[in-house]
Amino acid sequence: MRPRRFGTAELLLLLSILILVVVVAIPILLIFWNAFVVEGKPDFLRALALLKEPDTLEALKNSLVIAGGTTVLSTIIGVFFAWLVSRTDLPYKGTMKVLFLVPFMLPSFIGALAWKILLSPRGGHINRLLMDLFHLEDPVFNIMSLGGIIAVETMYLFPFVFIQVSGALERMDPTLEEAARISGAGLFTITRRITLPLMMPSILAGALLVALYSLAHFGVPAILGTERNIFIIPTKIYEKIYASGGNFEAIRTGTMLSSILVLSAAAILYIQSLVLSSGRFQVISGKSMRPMVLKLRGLKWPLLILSVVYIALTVVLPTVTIFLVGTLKTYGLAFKLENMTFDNFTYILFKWELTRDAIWNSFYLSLSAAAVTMLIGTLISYVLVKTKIRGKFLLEFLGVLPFSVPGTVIALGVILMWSGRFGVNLYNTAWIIFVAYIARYMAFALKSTSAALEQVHDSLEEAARACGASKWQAMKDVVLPLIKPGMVAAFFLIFLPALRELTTSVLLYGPHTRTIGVAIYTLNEDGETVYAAALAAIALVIIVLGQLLIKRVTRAKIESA
Amino acid sequence: MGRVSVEGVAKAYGPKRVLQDLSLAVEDGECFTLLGPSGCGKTVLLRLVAGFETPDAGEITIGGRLVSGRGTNVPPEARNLGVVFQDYAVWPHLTVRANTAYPLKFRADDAPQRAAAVQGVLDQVGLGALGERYPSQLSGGQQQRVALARALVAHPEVLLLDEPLSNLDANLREEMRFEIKDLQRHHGATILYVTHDQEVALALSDRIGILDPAGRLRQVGTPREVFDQPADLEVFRFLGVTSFVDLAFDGDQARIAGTPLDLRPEGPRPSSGALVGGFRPMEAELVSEGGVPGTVKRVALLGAVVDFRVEVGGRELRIQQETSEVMRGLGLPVEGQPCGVRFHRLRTFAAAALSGGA
Repeated sequence: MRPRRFGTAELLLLLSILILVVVVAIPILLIFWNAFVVEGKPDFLRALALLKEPDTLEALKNSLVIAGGTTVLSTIIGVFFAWLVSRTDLPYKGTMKVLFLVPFMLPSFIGALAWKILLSPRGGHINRLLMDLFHLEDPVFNIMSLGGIIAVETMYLFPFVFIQVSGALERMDPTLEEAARISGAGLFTITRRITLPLMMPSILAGALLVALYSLAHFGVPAILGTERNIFIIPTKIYEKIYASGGNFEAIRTGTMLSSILVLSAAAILYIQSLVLSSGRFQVISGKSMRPMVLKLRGLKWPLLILSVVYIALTVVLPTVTIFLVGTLKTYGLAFKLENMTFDNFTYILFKWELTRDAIWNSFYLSLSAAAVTMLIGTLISYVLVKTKIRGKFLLEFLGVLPFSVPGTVIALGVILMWSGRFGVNLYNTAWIIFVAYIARYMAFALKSTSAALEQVHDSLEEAARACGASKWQAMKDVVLPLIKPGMVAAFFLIFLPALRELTTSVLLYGPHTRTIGVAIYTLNEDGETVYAAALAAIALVIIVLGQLLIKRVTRAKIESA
Repeated sequence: MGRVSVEGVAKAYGPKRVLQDLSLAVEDGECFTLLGPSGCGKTVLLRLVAGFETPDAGEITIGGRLVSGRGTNVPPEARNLGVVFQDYAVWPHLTVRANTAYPLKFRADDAPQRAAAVQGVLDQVGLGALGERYPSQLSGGQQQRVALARALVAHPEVLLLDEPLSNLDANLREEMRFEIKDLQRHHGATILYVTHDQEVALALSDRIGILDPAGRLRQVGTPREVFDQPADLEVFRFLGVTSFVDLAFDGDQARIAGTPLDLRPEGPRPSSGALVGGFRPMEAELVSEGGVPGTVKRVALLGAVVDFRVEVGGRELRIQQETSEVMRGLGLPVEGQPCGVRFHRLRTFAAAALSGGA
């Protein structure tokens, strides 16, 4: 074979590899390096000794309990509601299905804030109400506990299971169940022997996502646990890095804990890929069919009421609480009209530098990170999907990395990398958050753009070449217009979560680089509950507006296609 | 001016050598079909001519201009070709008209000229009224016509077609086959057509080149030549249903399973090695008396013809006869019944290549 000269494809490959190495691979490597290498020599024993310290051990144990509890609870709730909306004659099924997805939009740390206001042992409004009402000595609920954290995490994570399972239930071939019915099996037997086993891959896939997120989440355990000395891995890392003023042992403990996070995330993703690739999914076809529907009869309305109450408690109540508290003149006043004011919002939006900066920071950081990550993601996906060059396997390997790196780990990695070690010090600037966002959201961009590119068959591009278009012309006329929806989707998939990001930013913010999430979190820490709630309310409005915008954009896309 | 010549071309993907030292020429204005089983490298050859791939060795010229080889590699867009892909490759984001007009974008024609050319070619392929539709609103056959119109609109010297009919149903395929032929007569383009469908190849082509699974060109000739005088066993076997019998020669006298034949098998007779005689189902018949003895294994009445499977000398033969003829003669035989086979025509081939069953 004739040696090929170094062409455009090779250049793009090299560029893609370089970006992923700098943005993702080196930060992760630095974490492992710092965790396991002392003075240039590998040292696993001392690393393990660090883990055995009581507070670290406690954090590991809590992580396991919270992730396990959240996963089990989310799976039960998710499967139950999924079954209810797709396999029964529940009234208003369509509306309920949409409502069950709403918790997805809400940032869980804002929910945690609301629940803290409502259910903290002494000051929680509901606790006080109940105590007054029944003349109790002790509070009824304590949300600031392991159980409380599990409950709040579940409220916002169960949609992962719900989406997977309801989708699979709707796509399942109903003849599989009908065949069992004809063979004489009752509905209970069918559900247990046929439906449930067939749903297992979807249930597992959803459950593993819940496990992945509950393991890596910072917000909920930070708001509900830290005050009560309940730490999990991400909050422990935060505490170590901040409380100890960056001494070496603390950073090492942080990197050790991060390594554990990375490895467990990788393990979870590996199990998930095994589950998804197991052939059992094949009984679920792509086309939608009319599934067998169970008549609920007398249970119809009670179950609807149960669903509505669930939504009211988990979505409406916290949201209303946030808005109401955000209007209070001083925290602790009763919710009466004379105690309420809109001044909090105008103060936060226009007058107070801290919050004004935070909103502005979040906006331009999310916007620029979304745009840049989407473009880089498109480039990398293009090389991955469309080119045939040697050395691509390297990019394929690197491309998997962003999927398995939790936000806390990315933050620690970029701190290690961009704090002057390599001659560039971005610490305390917005740039370090920008770099971290790119690493954190690269996976979203890769997923969405590569899916779009895979649908553009090579022959479409070649047809343009045969018509007389140059490589770039074909790209512009054919490939780009066809993947534009995927790119737009990638942009919003990054922009919206980045707007409310907390886990990564909280480790990276400086005096002038607070983001919305960080500002809400620190305001709450400082006891400024009213302003925290007001800012959270503004964040909720922005998020809802953003979601509506996506709906409009994507719907316009579908109609024009 | 649209002559395509391929000389000594080789192409490998990693350790897999797809084409080796392949040469062929498609004359100006000719419709040339490259026929071969899937995986034989015919699509690779088409892609080499189109410029989507670069040959490892050899040269390709189009219209006398060197496009590949000797250090030259003209990109596809500069080869003045029309290409129709197996999956149509019609752009889903553009209307039928915009799809068809795309090649003209790179020409100096003015707008009215362009519009007229597009409407003209759309009328020709029968899509004149559907110009504003999007491909998703068209049937498979209509999408194929868009692809054809797009390939023709700029009057390319050479039209490359990669199994363009294989995704269509049988009726549509037949219809499109004639349409392509008509369009070629009208446009006078040189056509290189790649397919594994021998019916299309025989019906459409001026000449056919037959590739074997290893990517070697076995025979080039008119449809009649390759069908009637196949160069070797591979070619014969590829064109239609065939059966083989073991032949023994006693001087000029050919025998099957010890029975002397009353015809002289055609073709060269290699002096060494085992020989087989090959025939198509209609080139033999069952007889009640004489012939080579065999056993009827299966009888299937297909309507106008009867399909027999007959065992002769350890090989299963496929023989077809007109139903009326069978009825007039010995009647429908019972399965398992002994019978005689008379051959109208046998071609001799060296048996060496006959491995893996006929």
